[in-house]
Amino acid sequence: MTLGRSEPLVVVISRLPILREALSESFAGIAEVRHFPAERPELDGLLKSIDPDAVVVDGDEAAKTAADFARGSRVPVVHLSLHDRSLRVFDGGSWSVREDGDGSADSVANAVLGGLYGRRPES
Amino acid sequence: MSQCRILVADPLAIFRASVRALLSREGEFVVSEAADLDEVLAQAAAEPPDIALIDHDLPPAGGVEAVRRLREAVGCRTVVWSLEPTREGILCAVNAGAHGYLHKAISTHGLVRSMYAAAAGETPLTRSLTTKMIDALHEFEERRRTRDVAAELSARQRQVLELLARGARNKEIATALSISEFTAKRHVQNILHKLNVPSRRDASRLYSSSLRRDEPSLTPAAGSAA
Repeated sequence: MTLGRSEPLVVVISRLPILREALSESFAGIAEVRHFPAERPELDGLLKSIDPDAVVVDGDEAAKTAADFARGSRVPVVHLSLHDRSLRVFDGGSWSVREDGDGSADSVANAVLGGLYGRRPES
Repeated sequence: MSQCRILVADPLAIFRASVRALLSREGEFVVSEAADLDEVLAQAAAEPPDIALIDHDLPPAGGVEAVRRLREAVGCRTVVWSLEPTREGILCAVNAGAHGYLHKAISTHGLVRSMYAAAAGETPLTRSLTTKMIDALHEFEERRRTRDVAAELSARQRQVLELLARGARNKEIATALSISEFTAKRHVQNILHKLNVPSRRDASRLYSSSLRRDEPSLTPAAGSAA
């Protein structure tokens, strides 16, 4: 987690208000969530400016951009695909499908938290 | 006032749970969930909903099929929603009996208002989706009129039209049909006259858009729910 933050910052890129609201509730008390519409131009620049601790996307194009950003910054990216209903995580330079992803907001939050805290060394 | 029973049918848990949370807060809705058609029908049989909000791509056969089956089973009001509404999809849903159609990018307030509207017997349909539906109706009517006109073509003229649509010139049409080039040219002229189009290109376009398809239908193509 970035120094200076009391909670991890999760950026959600989605054009669906109903999905954004569901994710905000799942992360309540756990992480700070910032939403941005999927159509926003210069997404890569936005992510670099904000420097989130994790990214959640629901579109294929946003997933590619977020993965490119994550390669340089090593933050986890979670892609909830609305078309094939899969949940996959980009971490450590590659995508992997979450078999336990049931398409719920909680499974997305769990994937994000796993990426955030699962990588941390024991304190 | 009795509560309104809403069945949310969507293969993705995040949508079902989100709609449930939104509507439950209102205090006037009782929400149940279903992930596919079987669950929809089971829920409807156990406790018939007043309104069903159905994903256009509900497995296994699509939301339009679910609308049709629900109409037969319990006759509740149905609203279909989709990530990418199309003209044909909206028209098919309405023709199957849906009472409204929404884009999944709708605001949370808009979704709640839409459910209240559906409960009041109104039709949740935004202006942009209404435009799509009207465009689809116009296109459907245009194709139907074109088919009526094309029905007056003889079998030979239909053969000529099909070749013409593939880009064949009069000489090639004549060779393919074992007729003289003069006869082929006469056929083409008669076809343009009957279809009331000024050029071969227009006739070809008309054939491709309206006549080459199967009989007009407002039902979705098989497998389109994937």
